[in-house]
Amino acid sequence: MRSNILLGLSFLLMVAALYLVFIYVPTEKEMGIVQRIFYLMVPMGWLALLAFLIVFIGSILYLVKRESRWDILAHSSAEVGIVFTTLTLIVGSIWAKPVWGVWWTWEPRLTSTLVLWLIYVAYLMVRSLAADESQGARFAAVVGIIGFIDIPIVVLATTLWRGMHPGPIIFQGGLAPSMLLTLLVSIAAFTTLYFCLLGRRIGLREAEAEIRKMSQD
Amino acid sequence: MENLGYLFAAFTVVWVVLFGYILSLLRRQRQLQRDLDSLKERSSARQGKG
Amino acid sequence: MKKFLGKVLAILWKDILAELRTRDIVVSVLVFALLVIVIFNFAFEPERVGLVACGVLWVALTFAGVLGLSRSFVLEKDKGCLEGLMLCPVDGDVIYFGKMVGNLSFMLIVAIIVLPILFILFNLPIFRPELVLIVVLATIGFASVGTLFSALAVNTKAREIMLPMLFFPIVTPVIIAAVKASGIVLQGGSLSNLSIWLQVMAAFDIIFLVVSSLVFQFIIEE
Repeated sequence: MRSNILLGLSFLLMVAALYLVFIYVPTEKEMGIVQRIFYLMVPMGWLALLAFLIVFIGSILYLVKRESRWDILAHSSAEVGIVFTTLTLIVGSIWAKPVWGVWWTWEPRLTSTLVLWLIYVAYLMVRSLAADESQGARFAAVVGIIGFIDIPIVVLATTLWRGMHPGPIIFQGGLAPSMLLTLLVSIAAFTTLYFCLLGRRIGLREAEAEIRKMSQD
Repeated sequence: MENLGYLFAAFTVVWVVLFGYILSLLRRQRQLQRDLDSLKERSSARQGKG
Repeated sequence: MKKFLGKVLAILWKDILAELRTRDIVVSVLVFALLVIVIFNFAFEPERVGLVACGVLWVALTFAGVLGLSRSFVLEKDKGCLEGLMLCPVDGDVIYFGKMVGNLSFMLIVAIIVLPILFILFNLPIFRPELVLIVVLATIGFASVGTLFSALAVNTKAREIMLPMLFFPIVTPVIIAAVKASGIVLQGGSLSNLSIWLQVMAAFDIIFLVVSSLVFQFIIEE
């Protein structure tokens, strides 16, 4: 029931976000219509970070408390996070083509997103390649902690690495109120969608655990 | 306006991937439900015999 | 504190003794690093090789480092030493620091031999002492997470692939910083340009030495 309310809310916000992005918000002068991809890229990047923050928290709680629900939370959030990180990379690449003229540039944000993606792909692989379930949970928790702590250092290093050529600033004079509203609604829409997906994924993991327990009896 | 295609491409990709993910979640859920049902059936059959 | 150090040194001594008897890690890793350098030499135009020397140096050291790190726990695991270590009445962080210092020394030995050879092969003009500092900082970074992931990977089903898959993405900041810093040194840049990269590496080293020593016990427990 609660998940249905969340799903409905997410759907409504999504429709609102689409309306705001395509019809309401004024076109940015410098970059033209392409700038509207921005309202898609920011929520994607934010959700990637949020998902991996939840992996981090779930990992710590699992190692401390050893309750499988924290492991289930971390695993589910990592999988949904990988989906959003992949989307960040694809949308970033679609953004890069009209703005910089190439599909890929080693720009700090794109580069650190790619590194992030690689870290959490390894996280999921550790799980599937571990000798048994509880070992996989422990190992993955360690990777989830180390990986998240690494993110700020990766961002710092890639920014300094490209520091000599600052990328084009998306907004010269800050965000206009209408743009900020659009951005916030879009972030809210995708964030509720993230929680819907997370809930679904957790339900799936719980069902899996139940079946495994039953088939062992 | 020549860049409208990129905007639509970005939105299309996001929605196609998200829908694909949701569908894969639903498919896995159905598969699990089927496994669960067959397990329950088997265990109840065994209990009936015993 | 003194007791802690004593235990760490005991584990380190065990590794050094094993290495002195077999020369398993240092020699094979060294040969591997030289091979990487030679192959890179073919991949680039000979005239332009000076420009990519830093990149070659760090690719060689990272790949060789991963090879050495994976050997470090494979030997323990295959000979059943890991169980012995786990049975010892010491904490996880003692084992971690013992293994870490061992890996660090092997990697440093390799780096110390590789550096002059690279300078000769690539015909680089000068050797600057700052390079030693960069190599030490970067190697501590490699050894800090590398030891943790090596212990993790050796217990998984695909240990050869698991270690590099975990190790490379995590150490990207160190690789970027080391390449940039040694580039600045070789071009005769000033110390102020260099210091930011040294700070990045030092921060990475401290953070991951602390965090890895804290989580290491979760890797080796059974």
